[in-house]
Amino acid sequence: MSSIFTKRLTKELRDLQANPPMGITVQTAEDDLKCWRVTVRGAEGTLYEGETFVLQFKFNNNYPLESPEVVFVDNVPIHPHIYSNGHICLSILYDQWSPALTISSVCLSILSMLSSATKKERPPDNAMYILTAKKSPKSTTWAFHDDSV
Amino acid sequence: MHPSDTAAPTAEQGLDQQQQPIENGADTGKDDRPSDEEILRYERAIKEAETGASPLISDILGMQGLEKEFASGLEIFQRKVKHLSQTCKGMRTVKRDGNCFYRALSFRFCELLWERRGTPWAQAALARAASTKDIMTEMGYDMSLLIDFWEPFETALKPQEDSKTLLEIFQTEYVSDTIVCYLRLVTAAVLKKYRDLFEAFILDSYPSLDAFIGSQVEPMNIEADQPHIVAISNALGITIRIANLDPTPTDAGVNYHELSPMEPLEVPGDVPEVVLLYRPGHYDVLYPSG
Repeated sequence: MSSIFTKRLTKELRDLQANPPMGITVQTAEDDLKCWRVTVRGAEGTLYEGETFVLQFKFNNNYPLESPEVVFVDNVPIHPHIYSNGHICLSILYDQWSPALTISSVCLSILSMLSSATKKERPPDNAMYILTAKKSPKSTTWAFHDDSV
Repeated sequence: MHPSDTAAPTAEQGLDQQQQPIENGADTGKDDRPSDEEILRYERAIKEAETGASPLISDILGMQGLEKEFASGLEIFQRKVKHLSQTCKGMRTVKRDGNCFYRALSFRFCELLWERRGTPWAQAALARAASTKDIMTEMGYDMSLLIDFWEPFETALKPQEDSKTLLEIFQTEYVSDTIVCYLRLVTAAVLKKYRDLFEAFILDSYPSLDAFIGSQVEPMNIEADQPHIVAISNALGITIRIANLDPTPTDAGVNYHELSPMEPLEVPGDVPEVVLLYRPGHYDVLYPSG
């Protein structure tokens, strides 16, 4: 649909492969760049040190005007803002998305969210949420009321 | 941070209702949930239903629509609308999607550049608009990625040789939204550049200027307020005059609120301004007579 989509993702991929930020590795970028898997490694000195997790990014044709859909797949970190189905409660992925953000900056925000956790635990409403949540976290109406973690 | 368990907005409820029949009628087997594409399609349909089928920006309309809108309103509004009818030759309505200020401003700014092509003002205004890329870079935005957002704006700033009218450009959703988005990022960059100046107005309500920018400036569909307007007026070097259709009593017919750039364009002769109509929560483009 838009050439911005392809141009932008091609450039982001090139940048990420040439200069990957610490702890971030692109594994795959498939389906005409519409679906990516990116490995993030827990930072040293945090609860997640030594663990690696895989983030799946899905882009629709309106990217980067619209946010990507980002979820953890396979091994989902235990964290107060991450549900066991892989959905992540982080405002920039939803209503505070901006095209100035990139795959790289999203990964860094998620790593920083992991780093600031003081206790490995699921969100208090995890059981209820995963029962009712839709497949895409973008279909959830999120309320963000805790900026401390 | 949790999914909201309080009143979900109507879009979410509408989504559930609309999904049901599809789920039932869908092929059985692997997955009975709607696909993400389907969900997005529904969301778009619901959003359109909420904002009406109104165009992103309309043709020039007479003032009758406004008169009709306020026909049963407070007397003070009717008086102000009447004054506007007598002093303006028309207006363009802009879609009520939270982007109206940026869309109204960018459309009218480009329209002025088309109307005044070749004048010293147009040349200076074009140069100033192009310099917004430098402010972005200076403030740490990666212009090698964001150049895609400047380009549609650059195209709209220059009169087209082919048949595409400015209105067609601004009615094409992706292009129009890309321009809106570019202006949002420029606004954010200016707020950062003059951090000391703007923090004074922002820190009362937000923990930091960056938090304000992240939640109130950069994301789409969030309305513009005074700091945003001051910032973008400075970036483009254009005076923005806003007719304020609110219930405050006035002797002047209608109050105009004027925001002039700190560094105006230095050109000889008459310098145009962008005139907008404000009603709480919404901006349209206004065309004063004469």
